[in-house]
Amino acid sequence: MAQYTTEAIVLGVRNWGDADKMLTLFSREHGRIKAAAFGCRRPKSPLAGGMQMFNHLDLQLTEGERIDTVKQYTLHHHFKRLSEDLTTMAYGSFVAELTSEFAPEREPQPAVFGCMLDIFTAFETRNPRITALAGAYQLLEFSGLQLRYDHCVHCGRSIEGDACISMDDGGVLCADCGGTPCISLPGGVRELILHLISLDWKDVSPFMVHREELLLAEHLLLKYLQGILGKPLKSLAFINQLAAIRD
Amino acid sequence: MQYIAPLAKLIENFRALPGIGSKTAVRLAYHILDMDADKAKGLAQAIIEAKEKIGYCNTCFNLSDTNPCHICAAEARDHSTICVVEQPQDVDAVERMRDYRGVYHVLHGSLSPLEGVGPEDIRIKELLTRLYDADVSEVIMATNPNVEGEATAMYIAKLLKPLGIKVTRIAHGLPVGGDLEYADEVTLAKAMENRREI
Repeated sequence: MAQYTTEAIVLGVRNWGDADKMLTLFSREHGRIKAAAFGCRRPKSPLAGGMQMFNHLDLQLTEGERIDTVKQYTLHHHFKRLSEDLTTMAYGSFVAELTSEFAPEREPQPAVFGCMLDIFTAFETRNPRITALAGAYQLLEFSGLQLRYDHCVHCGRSIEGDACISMDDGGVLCADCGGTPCISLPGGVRELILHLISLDWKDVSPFMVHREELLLAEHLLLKYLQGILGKPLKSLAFINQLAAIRD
Repeated sequence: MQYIAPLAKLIENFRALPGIGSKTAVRLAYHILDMDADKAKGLAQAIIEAKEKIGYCNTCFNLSDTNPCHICAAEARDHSTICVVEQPQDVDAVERMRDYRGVYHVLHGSLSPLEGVGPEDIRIKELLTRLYDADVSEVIMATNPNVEGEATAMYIAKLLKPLGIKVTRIAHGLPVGGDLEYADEVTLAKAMENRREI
């Protein structure tokens, strides 16, 4: 059985068998991979500490016929806030679930991997809700499924200010091209979305977000995600449950 | 392979159990066929009896054949200390220690966004009701030391803070008998974080 090493982020963990875990990893070199960590739920297992959600690891794996097996790991970074603050964990899970959905298995996407690391690092200090929103818009950009927000998708004209958006057409429409199934998109929301898409995680200068604009940007994203994924995201139901309890 | 109908049904039922693959299921099924009729009946009866007689204790939600369970009913135990665990198996693990004299509360899960398990899906509400009704001085959070268990503990601790009840978390760190050089980084970091003065 061939062994290989890879740098990866743990996107999902579920208990498996008696004391094992099944991991969904996002690897810099191999994209999304599934791997088993045998015996890692036993306290004395040398894998126990590392096989946790959101951990950034260097892994040594053995290729298997059906599934790869984790042999060893070295920890790069443990994102503390993601594991200790429930709200941050919920939004982090949303980004992780989205990545799992978009990333094809065994297809390297080093740029997405870098972006994921930046997003998880931002969760340590930034507002988790806005971080998750920006992260989701950027992941859409990498996946090639992003809607267009700067030019009319029909005539290509540059859009200034208010517009309307058609998810079926793939983005915003100018006043001349807009029709009935088009959702109104205020200029402020469009600018917010464009800002989030182009956000440089290494140098995030403070910016103001109006509540109404944030809600609409979220609403558009979730509606679009529901449309392209064709199923509700589990982490989203969790976030909604937390919000309902808070209210 | 084509099995005779009752055997195929038995194999299928074993296969539905966790951790049992097709080969083990076949082996178990043949073992049952080799057993004395009385032993086989005894096994079937034990399964039926366990299903019929075991339910949840209305106080701690541990599995029990009585209500309240023998732990909640025991006067000798310290009812002012509640140890919160994820699963009934965790109660057994703490009981094996023979050093804890308080009572328990079983959540039946932990908060998990990716599994869609939210605060409403586990027995947090029942814990709060219990704390309002009883005179409790300490709640020990003994959820698993993983991301989900940690978040569950933090969430409950936040809910209990306004009630003025002392909330503690079981320590994380090196397993007894293990060598430091083989400890992983996360465990070692937790052990350092939770160090105590001697």
